[in-house]
Amino acid sequence: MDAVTLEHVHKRFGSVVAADDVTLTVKEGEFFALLGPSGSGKTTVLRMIAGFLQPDAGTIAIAGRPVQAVPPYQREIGMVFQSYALFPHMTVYGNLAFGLSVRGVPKAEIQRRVREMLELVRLPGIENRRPHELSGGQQQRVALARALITRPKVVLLDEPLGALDKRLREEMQIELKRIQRQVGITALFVTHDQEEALTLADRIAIMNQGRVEQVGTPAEVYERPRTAFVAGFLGDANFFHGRVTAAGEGQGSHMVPESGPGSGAAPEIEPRAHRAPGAELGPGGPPGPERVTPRRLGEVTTEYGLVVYTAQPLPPLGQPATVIVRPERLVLTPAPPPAAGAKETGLENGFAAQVKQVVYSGKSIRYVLTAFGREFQALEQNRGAQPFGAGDTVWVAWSAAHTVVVEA
Amino acid sequence: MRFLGSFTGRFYLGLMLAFLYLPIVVMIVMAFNRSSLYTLPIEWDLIWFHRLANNERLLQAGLNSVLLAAATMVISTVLGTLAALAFHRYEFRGKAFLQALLFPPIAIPWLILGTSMLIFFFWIGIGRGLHAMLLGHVALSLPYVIMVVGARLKSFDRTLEEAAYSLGANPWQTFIRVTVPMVFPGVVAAGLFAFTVSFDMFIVSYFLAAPGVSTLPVEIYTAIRTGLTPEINALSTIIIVVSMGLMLAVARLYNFAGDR
Repeated sequence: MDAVTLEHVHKRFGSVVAADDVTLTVKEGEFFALLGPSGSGKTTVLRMIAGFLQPDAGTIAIAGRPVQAVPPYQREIGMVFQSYALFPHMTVYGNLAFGLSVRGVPKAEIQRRVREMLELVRLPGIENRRPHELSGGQQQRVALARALITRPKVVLLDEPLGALDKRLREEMQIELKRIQRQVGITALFVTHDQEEALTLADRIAIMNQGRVEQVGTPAEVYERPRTAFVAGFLGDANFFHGRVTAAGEGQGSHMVPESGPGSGAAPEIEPRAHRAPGAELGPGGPPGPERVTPRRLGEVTTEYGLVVYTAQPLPPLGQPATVIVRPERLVLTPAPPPAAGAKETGLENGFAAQVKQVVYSGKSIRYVLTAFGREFQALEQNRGAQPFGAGDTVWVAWSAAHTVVVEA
Repeated sequence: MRFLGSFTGRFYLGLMLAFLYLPIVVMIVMAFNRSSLYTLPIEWDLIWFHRLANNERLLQAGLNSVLLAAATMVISTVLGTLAALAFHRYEFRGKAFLQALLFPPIAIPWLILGTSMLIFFFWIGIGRGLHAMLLGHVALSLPYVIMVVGARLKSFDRTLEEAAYSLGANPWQTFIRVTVPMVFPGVVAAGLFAFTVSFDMFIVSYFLAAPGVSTLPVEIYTAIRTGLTPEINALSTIIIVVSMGLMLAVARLYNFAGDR
């Protein structure tokens, strides 16, 4: 059964549309993230599920039960607030016991479950402390324990790690995931931190201006963004604007450039021996969702006249389109490969660029490149080779398999 | 804090404290002095306390004052807290206007308010007496209560109530177990405020006191006009000790309520 379903939910505050036709399904046992910038409506959606806000239209159901007429205190939810909202006039025990005692659970059972819960969050023996005596991370755990102790149908977390510093946040991410798995509870959390969403969530809904732009697993939304917003929000991206000039395979289109419809030979080692002594490089950059053998590819002619090939789904022929390539998918070489090389390396796309800036950050090197009078970003793993320097001319290449095209 | 460490800083602090407390200290000391003419050296004696114990008029006035202040405190705190909750929680027509109406009773001189109350109460047949004083005191202390409780409510984090709802507590359970304990220190402070306003009130009481029924400030005023006796000092000493004790108790209560 689905833990939470939203169907065509609308909500506006005056002239601001906070939720615009939101339709979502959170499956039982799932760790689901609502990701978006501030003002995208993600917290509004969470608060509507909790019952603190009423939708203007649409339906919300928790565990199959429509909850329009159900007040928050009968929705059987647990909630972790960004500020934790621990009751300052109660001890940790009082905070945890609260949800059980309002339900009339016998005292002995309350004691047992509080102890059990504190063990789960690895804070045994702090029953008699008061919230203000705890560190931020401890308060966070107590808030989580308090939300879980009533065994809710779903636990809602509003920016749960937002108030913690970076190191503690990473620690709590792992902890949160462990606890969620261990309890097996459905969790829905709101965050503006794309890395947090990618790390924690089983599935992510990306929200923008009250609309859900895309729902999918972290790999899906990262590798196959359906809109330019999703691509840009989930990490860095290079964009080209253009028009679809040829459809993909089966639609009578162009061939792979500079090569015949050859056999799908296993890609060779990249021509970058000068940079990586003893290179054990895998084929053409990081592994993508799929490896394309040379075949008919879709084409987008960009505003610079550069033709970009893609093996991914395309908007209809003739439509304006935006090409998206992640910086880490770009492969830099000192010169373009020999005419026949593009096929072998699996790097069907390429253009010449100049290195404008090199940002060394230890494990990776970020390049700012200029071409067509604008900038591009490239990110390479630091494999110990001599990096390019500012002013170098490089050949920027990438695979058609890693070329995402969305409607402009 | 470096300023306080310097000599000038300490001197200034000493001066301020002396300015505030020396008159009170002198009065307390004089309550224990045998001479009725405030002559030195001091001869320690409890004579004025004995005299006080036999002064029916003054004791009756003191009792009136305490009862009146207690009644004012209860009525003002209940009404004022409810009003503050309404202001805090609901949006309604004329809210800003009503809130603005809270200030005049504080800003208008009590002399004028006292006069107008006297006229009004006569006009509608309430007349003078303790009941009229109670009405006046409640009316004048109510704005203070609303403001003190309102300030406390403003700092109250509404997400605590949401947290209670999310944990399954219904509105009544939430109110009793979360809202009330959180707002309680503000209510106590407001109640104390109302008590003090009533207990200190001279002008309005003076206008509304029926012959033979008066409160402590009115009685002291009358006593001073006929000649100041150290009995007043003795009485004041008792009042100071009790009110200081109350203040300390409230300060402790505030801390216990987890006020940071």
